[in-house]
Amino acid sequence: MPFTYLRRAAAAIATSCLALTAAASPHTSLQGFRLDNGLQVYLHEDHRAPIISAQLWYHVGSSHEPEGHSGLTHALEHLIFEGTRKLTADQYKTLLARLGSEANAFTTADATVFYQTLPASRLEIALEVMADSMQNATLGEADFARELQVIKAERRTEVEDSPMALAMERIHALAYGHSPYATPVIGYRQYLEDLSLATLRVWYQTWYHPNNATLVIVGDTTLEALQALVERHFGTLSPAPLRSRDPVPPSDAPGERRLVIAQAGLGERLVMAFNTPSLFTAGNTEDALALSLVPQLLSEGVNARLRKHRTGSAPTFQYLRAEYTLVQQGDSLLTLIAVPNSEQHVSLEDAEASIWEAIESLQYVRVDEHELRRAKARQLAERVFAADDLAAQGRAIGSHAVSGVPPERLEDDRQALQNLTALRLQQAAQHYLTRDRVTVAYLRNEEKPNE
Amino acid sequence: MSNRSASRYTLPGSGIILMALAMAFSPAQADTKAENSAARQTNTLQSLAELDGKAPSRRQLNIQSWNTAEGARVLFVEARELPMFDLRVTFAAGSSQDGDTPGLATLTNAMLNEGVAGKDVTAIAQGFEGLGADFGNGSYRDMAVATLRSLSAADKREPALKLFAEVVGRPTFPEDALKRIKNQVLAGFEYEKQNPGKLAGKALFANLYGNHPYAHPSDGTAQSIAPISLEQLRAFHARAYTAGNAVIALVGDLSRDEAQAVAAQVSAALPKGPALSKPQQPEAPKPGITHIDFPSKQTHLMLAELGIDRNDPDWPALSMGNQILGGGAFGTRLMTEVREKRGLTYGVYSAFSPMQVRGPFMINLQTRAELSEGTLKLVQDILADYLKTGPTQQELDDAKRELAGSFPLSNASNSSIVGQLGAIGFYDLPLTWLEDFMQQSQSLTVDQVKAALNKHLAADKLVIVTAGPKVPQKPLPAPTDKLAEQPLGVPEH
Repeated sequence: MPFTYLRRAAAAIATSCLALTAAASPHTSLQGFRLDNGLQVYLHEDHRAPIISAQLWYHVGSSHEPEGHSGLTHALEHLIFEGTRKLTADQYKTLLARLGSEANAFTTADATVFYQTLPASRLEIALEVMADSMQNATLGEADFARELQVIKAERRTEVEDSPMALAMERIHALAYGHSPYATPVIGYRQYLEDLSLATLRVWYQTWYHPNNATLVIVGDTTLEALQALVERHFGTLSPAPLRSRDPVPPSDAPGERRLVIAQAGLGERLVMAFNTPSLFTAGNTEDALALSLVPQLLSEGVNARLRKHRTGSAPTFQYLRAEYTLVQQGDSLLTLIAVPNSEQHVSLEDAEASIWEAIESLQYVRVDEHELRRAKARQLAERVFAADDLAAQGRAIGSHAVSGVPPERLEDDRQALQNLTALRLQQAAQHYLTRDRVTVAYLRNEEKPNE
Repeated sequence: MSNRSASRYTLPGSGIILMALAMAFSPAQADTKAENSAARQTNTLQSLAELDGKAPSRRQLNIQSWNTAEGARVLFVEARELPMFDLRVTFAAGSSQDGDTPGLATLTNAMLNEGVAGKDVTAIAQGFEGLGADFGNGSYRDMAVATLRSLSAADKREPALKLFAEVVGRPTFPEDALKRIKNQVLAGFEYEKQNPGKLAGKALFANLYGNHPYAHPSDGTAQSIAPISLEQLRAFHARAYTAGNAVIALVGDLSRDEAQAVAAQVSAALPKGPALSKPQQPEAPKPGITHIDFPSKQTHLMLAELGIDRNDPDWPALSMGNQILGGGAFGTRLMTEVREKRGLTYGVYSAFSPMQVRGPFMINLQTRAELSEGTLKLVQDILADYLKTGPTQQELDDAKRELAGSFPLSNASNSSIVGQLGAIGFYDLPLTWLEDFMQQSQSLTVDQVKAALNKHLAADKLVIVTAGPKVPQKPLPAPTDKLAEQPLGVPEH
């Protein structure tokens, strides 16, 4: 059995930046072009193996859904696999697998992504399938009814049978408030019940257009070869006028919010979520980059403040996890999840006080230079390591594009992060890790009355 | 820089395909079949029709192998494109070597990086972190591993290797760390009580393996780990983390000389000693169903039998047979019948896990509680029917093509190559194993696959565990038959 909870990777978020141009690597940097119909294409060449990762990113995610329609985008993603004009459902699903392609899709708050990793000589098949599904998806009635059952099963498996996932859904809803990022990507159950095929068809016609998509290619091809293939298969598609998205309200500092969730099967946990800007919404990029180092300094790094925190002679926390959503089109969250050490009888109240204490130390004591240097050394190495994974490189490019941050800026931001000062970090902590931005949740196991 | 974890939903597939790749291969040599021309007319993918009949090319691996002075087997692939290297040391030191102390192997492995002379856990972690190096460790039923990923520049590589060698070869096993790790494991057990899938998996292995060392979970139990002492860990390390019991896999930006020096340095740091012997083969289990009552929405269904060991000559045929039954993402018999035609599950998979001795064959799915009995029956019927009739020629041809097509992906990254080298070394397979496997797979006939499946599996010998609520059962919905038999029209190669 894997032993993941003992060796959680130290640097989670801040270091997951991906290398486009590893300093000493022979690879070219990011290239790109745009078709007349608006399709944006990015290419990062990697010729180590005759393999390509091809990813089609539609700029539509759950945050685009109108109120009362959560789950719509993800459901549409499922239904795209149910066939197109050129391929029947079973052909679509099995064709690429039979060719040896690793093909799948996922939906996020900002995007719907169809991806394939396959032998370079078969790239054209992947592109033709992607282009076909952009305007010729079948979206049939029987497929819809059955696939909706699959999605409900997915929701039961991933969310409803997991007390923690259900709790996180509620915490996100409260923390994001009126933001469209408040709803879960997979959708609430009652909306899944009400979902109609007619709505899905409208959603498809609204967003699946070349001028609302970014194609990301990483691997063994050249710009010239790629351009010819992309022109051939996507060039004939017509653009459509895009509905402009409702402005996402900024979250700012909406005031402290608290909730207690008691449910059978839920362990004692503390969740604290701070409303923060993202790389896209931050007035100053450095603010977001500084926030991306906070998880490392608070809980993820070996010397992180909360990891060192003790109650008596024992660590205060049994488990810690911090995440900051850096790349998102709307404002985002910096979230801390902590399990207090039950052996030491650390209460949720004590745990919360310890976390505020650690945050205050970030706000008033400047980060040690060694600590900062270690974090940066890790980042440099991570840049090289990330170049080993084609799909991950593609995801970095695509996620930037759909969140409104030009992927060309990846390298600049990385440099800016390397130059970030301890003072800057301190200022970001002072400004954003405040009580009027926090949602605090106490999670407890609900005892059954007869026990 | 993206954080997708909070909101990412995927269709099933990638993990399974990767599993298939872990046993991958060389270019296919298949004949052009007559049905191909007919197949092409059924779809209109232009690029597919134009695809030539050749198997896709792949990265050529030149695997070099030698033994260190202390007896560790080394496998090395030079890859100069990125200025980094991956080192993976595998020991026959998994939980099957626990003896009467379930959890011993796991705790020993978890304690490696808790202390070395002059450094505590924090100093070790800071050491790796400051060099930008990734240390990893893990423990399973057969094996325990320690890994290092580092930049290859000498000023990073040398100190990272020095620290790695100390951690793996001369850990100090500090007392306070053991206490902390035991607490973490115990907290994990508590958490698992809320996870019906985990509970079902544990029960399944217990039922399948009885008194065999594979029966107990690698993490042990709350009762078994509490009394484990530092002396036991030290003795286990001295016995199981020896050079003779180790396989060193290396991929990256190193010359042969540098690789030899790296392997020699790691090997010399390990305790001296021979390889540990494999566990005995397990005895056949008693078939039957165990139900675990659990208040979940979905019911977990797990069906298993004993499968094969990694050196079994039937592995290519069984792997191919399984691919068609439920090893792939979409288009397998199980996925088609249970998900595509009836919408009963998000995913259903079958797998052989060949191990040092007979590992499990397993089918795994979740479904709505009120349909669980009908679904279980459906899955059993699909298996029985498949064993009775075997795959069709079309299914076998498709699976062969899939294998040939996915092969190049298995060599795409350094991390995938180092994993392959580790497995070849650990299971003592020939260096040509990947090629051999591919060739054997491509030459299989329908009858051979069917015969191998029936030699190792029987529909009435299943050990079954279900976990979910007890609720009144409903009949299954009628299948939609949108899936008329339509050839895919993938050209032969």
